[in-house]
Amino acid sequence: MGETSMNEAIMSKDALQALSPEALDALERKIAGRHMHRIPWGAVAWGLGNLIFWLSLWPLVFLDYLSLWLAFPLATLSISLSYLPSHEAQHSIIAREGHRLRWLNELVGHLSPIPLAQPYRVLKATHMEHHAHSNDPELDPDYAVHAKDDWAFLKNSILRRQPAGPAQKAYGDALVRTHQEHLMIDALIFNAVFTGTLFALAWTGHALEAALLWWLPKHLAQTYIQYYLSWAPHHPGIRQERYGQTRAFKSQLGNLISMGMQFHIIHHLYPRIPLSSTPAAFHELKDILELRGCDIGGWADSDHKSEAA
Amino acid sequence: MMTSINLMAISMNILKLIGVLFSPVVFGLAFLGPLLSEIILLLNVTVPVGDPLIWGVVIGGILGGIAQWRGSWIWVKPV
Repeated sequence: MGETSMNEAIMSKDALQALSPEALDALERKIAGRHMHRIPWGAVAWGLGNLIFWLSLWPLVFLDYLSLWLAFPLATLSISLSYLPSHEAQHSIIAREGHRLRWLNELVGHLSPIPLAQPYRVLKATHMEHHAHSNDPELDPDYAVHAKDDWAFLKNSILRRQPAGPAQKAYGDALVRTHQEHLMIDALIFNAVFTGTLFALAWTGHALEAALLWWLPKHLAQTYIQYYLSWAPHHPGIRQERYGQTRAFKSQLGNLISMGMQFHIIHHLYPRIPLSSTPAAFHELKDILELRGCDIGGWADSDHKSEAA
Repeated sequence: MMTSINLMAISMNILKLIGVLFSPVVFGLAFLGPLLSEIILLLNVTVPVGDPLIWGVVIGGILGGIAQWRGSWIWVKPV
């Protein structure tokens, strides 16, 4: 960080308050801009490597090189990690349209969520609606995740996935509303391949492998992803304005296990900042966000230099 | 006019077929059935009569039927 930028980052709250709204906006954008426009190679390696890892579990188990009971938690971990690289691609963080590496952005976007049996184009279309209408009960496809506490979230998450539950309806409604109903074909194909694979494995004597390498890990991963990516950073989900849609929070499990979502507020304000840069961006923008009335969780009195490190 | 009516009828039938393929009853029979039979064998449970696969498919089918009827695999109905 250069001397000028460091000075910007450590301006006192009084000095920030003295700035005109235009100067504060410009400073916020300038600080955020420093964290954009770089290719997150880590996310690329993560997305493609994680898919290879999950796929490799199958032959390892089938050829008896790996116990199914050990492969089960590994598959759960892998599927839990399969969404975020695609999320980077959904926001064109890896490469924007027209960039020479755009193909890589789309490759990671399509391939990394395969273990979740979720099509990239549907994820992207519905996620853009989530960003456009965060916390809107009618228009945010992820709104139904909201619940009063952790246990209510878990109960809600299980109930929403039942046959008569509304889990997929909000996504379908969002596609219809945005005139992208043709993408339901993608969802249909993914669902057919997923259930067809489960059925085929089950009737060829590999039902336990299908259950413990894909079906159950997928459900556990979905719960985990919904908790940290949707529920926790948007709780209590009552504000819809730019600086109130999300919050920062301190996870008891740390930043890694909470998948970097402690700083999801940065992602909603500046979706082009790569996930790996959101902690640093948050600590540099924290005082400005506090002035904006953001909920910055337990980070208010933290020392930004040591925390960012 | 006839063509559009035929297309609509075909589309409706395809949607019905998809609904059946993704139904809890089919899932219970086609996945839970073999899975339960493998669990029966894994736990060395002796079935009173017949093959564990038959028991698995019957139990899976009943569970799927209940899930279809209740709209829930866990009895509690989603709100």
